[in-house]
Amino acid sequence: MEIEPRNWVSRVRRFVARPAMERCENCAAALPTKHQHLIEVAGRRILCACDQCVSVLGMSERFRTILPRTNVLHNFQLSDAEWDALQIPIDMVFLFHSTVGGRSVAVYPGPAGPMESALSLDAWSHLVAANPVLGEMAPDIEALLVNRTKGAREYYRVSIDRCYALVGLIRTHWQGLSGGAEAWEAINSFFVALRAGANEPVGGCLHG
Amino acid sequence: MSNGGDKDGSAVQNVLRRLAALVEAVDGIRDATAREAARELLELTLDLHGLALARIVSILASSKDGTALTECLVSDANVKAIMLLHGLHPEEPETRLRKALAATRPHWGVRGVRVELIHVGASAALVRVHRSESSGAASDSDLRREIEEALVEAAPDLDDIIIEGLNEARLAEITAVAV
Repeated sequence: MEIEPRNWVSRVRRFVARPAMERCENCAAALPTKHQHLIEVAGRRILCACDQCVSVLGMSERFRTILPRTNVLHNFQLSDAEWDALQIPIDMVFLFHSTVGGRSVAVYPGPAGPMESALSLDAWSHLVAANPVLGEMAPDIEALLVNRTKGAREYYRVSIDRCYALVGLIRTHWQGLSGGAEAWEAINSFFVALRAGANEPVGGCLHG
Repeated sequence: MSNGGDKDGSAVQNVLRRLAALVEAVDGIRDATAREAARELLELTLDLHGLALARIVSILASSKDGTALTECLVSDANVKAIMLLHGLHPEEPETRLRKALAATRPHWGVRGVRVELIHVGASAALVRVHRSESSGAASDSDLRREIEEALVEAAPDLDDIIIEGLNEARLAEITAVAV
């Protein structure tokens, strides 16, 4: 997840640092910097894709087109007790409905990649009842992103590529048990960018 | 651009504005081969000069009057811009932002405006604006523009400076960058 550069030094640097030519992961066509993403639903794999492949594959059952989205959820109803009832072991997680399993899942960014956590379905349905916006989220491609680290109580409705950008970021920077300064620096910047509403990946996709 | 005559940095400003616009334009070229050729051309040109400049700055800094010389470099509009571009400025973005806020504090303070630096990261900074009841008639968007300009001038090497606490969303990109 990157911030749209507005300042000349960062613009020039980001332009030259861009990795050479990204390619459509389906047909290998050269991709412009701003391109769309698909998610392969079964394996939850995100692909960079050209417009043609997006329109063709997006119609299939195997793939879904990701529509970029970030909404900060103000007034989200979730008390600490209700959070404990969800039985999610860590305080940064994203939750979405998976059509593959036909149920809602919780995924959190671990040091080695995304980890799925068991989700108490009772507690989840209570959460949806208290926060109807969760019922509006499109399955597989939208998620509730929760940040309760370091005292934060932030809730976002985001497209799934943003969640996996956070996963990739943590996998890249995390060190040791508690992450290290560099990782938390990157995580802070990620959420600052999210809140500012800056949406587009720049200089290569971090969704890995 | 003439040599030596740009004391106030306005010629530099024009070049920087044009540079930023061209980078956007080239980035939008659909032909990936052409776009990549232009990108690599700029990358290698910058690398060539950047390596030499880093050596020059280092040689000057470690010479007898190193501190004074470095100060001269940083105070020259033309040189400062290039030092920022190549990451050779002796001060971190946070230091430069704090200095800019300290310098503007009295000016904004008499207008009932306080700008608080919340967070400076590798790529962005977050500030919060507090306007007192007695703060002047300037609209939130005018004030936002004014604050953005001052902070971007101090740290054009940050990707973004996010300003919270004002009502209106950012209207347009800052394209005029003073150095």
